[in-house]
Amino acid sequence: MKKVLIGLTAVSVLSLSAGNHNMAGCGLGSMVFPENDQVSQILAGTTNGTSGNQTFGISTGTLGCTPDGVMAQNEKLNIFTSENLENLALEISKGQGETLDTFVELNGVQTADKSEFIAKLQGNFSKIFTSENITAGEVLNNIRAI
Amino acid sequence: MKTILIFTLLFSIQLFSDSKTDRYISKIQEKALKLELQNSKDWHLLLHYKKDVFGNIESLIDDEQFFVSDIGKYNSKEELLKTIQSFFKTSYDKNSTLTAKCIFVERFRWLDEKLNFDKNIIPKTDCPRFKSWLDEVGGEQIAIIFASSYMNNPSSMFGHTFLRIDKKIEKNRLLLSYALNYSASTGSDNGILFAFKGIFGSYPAYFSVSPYFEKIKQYNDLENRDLYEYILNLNQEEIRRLIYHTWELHFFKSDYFFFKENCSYNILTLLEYARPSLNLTENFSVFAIPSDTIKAISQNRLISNTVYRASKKSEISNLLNNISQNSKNLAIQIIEQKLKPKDIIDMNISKTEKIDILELSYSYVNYLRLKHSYRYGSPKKLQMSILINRSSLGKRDKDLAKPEKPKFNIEDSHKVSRFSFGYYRENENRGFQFRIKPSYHELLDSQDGYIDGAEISFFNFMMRFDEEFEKYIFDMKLLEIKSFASYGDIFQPKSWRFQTGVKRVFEDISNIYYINGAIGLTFGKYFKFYSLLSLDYEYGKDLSKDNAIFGGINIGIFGSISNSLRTNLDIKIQESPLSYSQEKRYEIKWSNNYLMNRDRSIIFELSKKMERENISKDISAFYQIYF
Repeated sequence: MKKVLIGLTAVSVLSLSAGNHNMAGCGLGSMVFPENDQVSQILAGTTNGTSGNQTFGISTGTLGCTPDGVMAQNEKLNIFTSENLENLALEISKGQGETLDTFVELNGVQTADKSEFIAKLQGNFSKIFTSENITAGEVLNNIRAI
Repeated sequence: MKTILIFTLLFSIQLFSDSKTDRYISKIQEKALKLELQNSKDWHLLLHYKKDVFGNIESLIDDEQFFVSDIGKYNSKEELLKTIQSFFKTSYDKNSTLTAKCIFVERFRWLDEKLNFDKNIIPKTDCPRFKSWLDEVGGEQIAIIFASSYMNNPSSMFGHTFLRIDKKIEKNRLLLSYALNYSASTGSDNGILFAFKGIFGSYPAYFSVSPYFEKIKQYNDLENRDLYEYILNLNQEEIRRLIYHTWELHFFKSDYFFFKENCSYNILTLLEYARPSLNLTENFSVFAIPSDTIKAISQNRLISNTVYRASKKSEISNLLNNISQNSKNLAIQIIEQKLKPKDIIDMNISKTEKIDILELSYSYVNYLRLKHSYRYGSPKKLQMSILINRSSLGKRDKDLAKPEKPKFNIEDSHKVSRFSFGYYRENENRGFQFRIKPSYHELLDSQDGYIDGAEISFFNFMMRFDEEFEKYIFDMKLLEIKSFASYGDIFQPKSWRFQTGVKRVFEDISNIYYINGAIGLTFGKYFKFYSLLSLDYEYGKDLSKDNAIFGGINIGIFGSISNSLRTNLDIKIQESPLSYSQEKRYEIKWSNNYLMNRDRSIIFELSKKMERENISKDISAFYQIYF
């Protein structure tokens, strides 16, 4: 969990710090970015700096995303889980929330089975989030195993 | 010999077909000119042309490659002719793997609609890259998202706007929608350089698409800014126009100007292309403040519905308002690691209380962790342990963390420019006074839609004349910021104020430059008391008197006496520590702003000042128009 959280903080920090990246964080969970400073945080508030350098000549896609900024169809569950792992953990423990609803939808769970699925996730929280170093991939595997 | 013959034959076919294509191009270009497409509104919107005062056109897009013609930025006819020609080539230029038709998808569609290109002559490409992008993005619905301000950063009061494209209008899929953002690529610059480059347009900016959940993480979770989602009532064709045009823009850069050609302004240009009958940008000739652009969109009846998405901090505030003091105290003990989350489970309290305590402590540890200010050990380990214990308590009926939409929205708030006129008496001087300020919001203005205790004003210029209009004084406040947020059990912000400017007083004809700062704390919920330590520096012509540093205290109270009356009592007591200007001074000022309606008010101020052993009394009244 720790590593994941560090990863997530890094991604989060990334979206704050003005610049240095392409198309704000799509599948960047494993990359490490420098801490933001207060000044750029304040200024980022008004400018929302990102560095998009998408040109039609060069393709510089980030992990899981196409150069045009959209998620690859077959990577969607992985990207969503790793980018939202923190909110997902919180909402699984609470048994409700929009991130959790979206996650359920991405897993292709039918509406009729939804509450049962969520209750199962909540009931097995400690089996899904087994350690502080857990990754999104491990979380998905643990969910398949329960 | 045979080979040569074949080559000759092939070459003639090639030549023949080339000249046939060329003839067709000339014909279709003539048709375009006959229809005067170069002067049509759609074409000007597609190319982002704006007319200057002399009637010359120039495109707001700065990327050379956005224009097929070398002079396309300034010439709509040349650009039209070259664009038509480019559709018949197999690639846009030597660096490109795409054809012009697949880059400028909306230009092509629009011209095809007008000119009906011969599909046998135009090279066949079905634009797979565009198709797969379009397939993923959608959409059935467009929303404009406003990221509101957050406390202790009054500069963010201006907000930020971006668009969201919803592929399907389904509640459980909105996180997977795409945000369409116009933003500057700022590299790692910050501080003064950042501001300077931003103001003078040296940063390139792009339209870019990214998953909406990334934006929620950035604004709601990290910057603690509430999001307002305004669903727009665009029809399917308008949505299609917007999305296709987005594709052809997303390759190209423009120069980013903080004040005008910024995120909000450029989003308005997109909406204008979607629905050409809209005139949104013409109201923003100098500044385009995001909250004002939302007002313009609201006035044009584009909004069908508003959805509020609370920040993590607003969620915590909502929890704090809904749980008992005992639960708060226990949560603080978990946060400070004096109690274990498991201890709460074993306590003899209700299940609801256990949930309150665990959810509050999780959220607050998370808040501190993201600010890098958690000081009681490893926050992640504690958070994990809280969640494991929380998961054993089942589901709540209503998620307490989710606050209701605030009563007032930014589109209903007062206008940001202000003109005031009135009468004053300052000791023996009396006469008329005038004041003008382009933006933005003061403590005494109507708070509806703004954050209580935050103030930011630019270029607040006040002039006073004597009754004969012979003498005058002025006060030009370049910048004034106040951030007075209440100190509480959980959130413990510092309060501060800053102002700088130049003024002239009746007793002295030279200008006095000043810069003041103060820092301290604010308490209270409805009426707020502030108590600050202040430091002022003043520089005038007479150095022995005017070049002075003053230190002291600044205390006061502000709030609403009724729905239509705002009040502020402000007291400053200061002393100059330097011998050549040693003096004490104080100022007591009581201001009341009577809000007649959203954009009209009367402000009445009484003040008494002691400076250089002179006591002056001042009575002032202004009629204020917000516009």
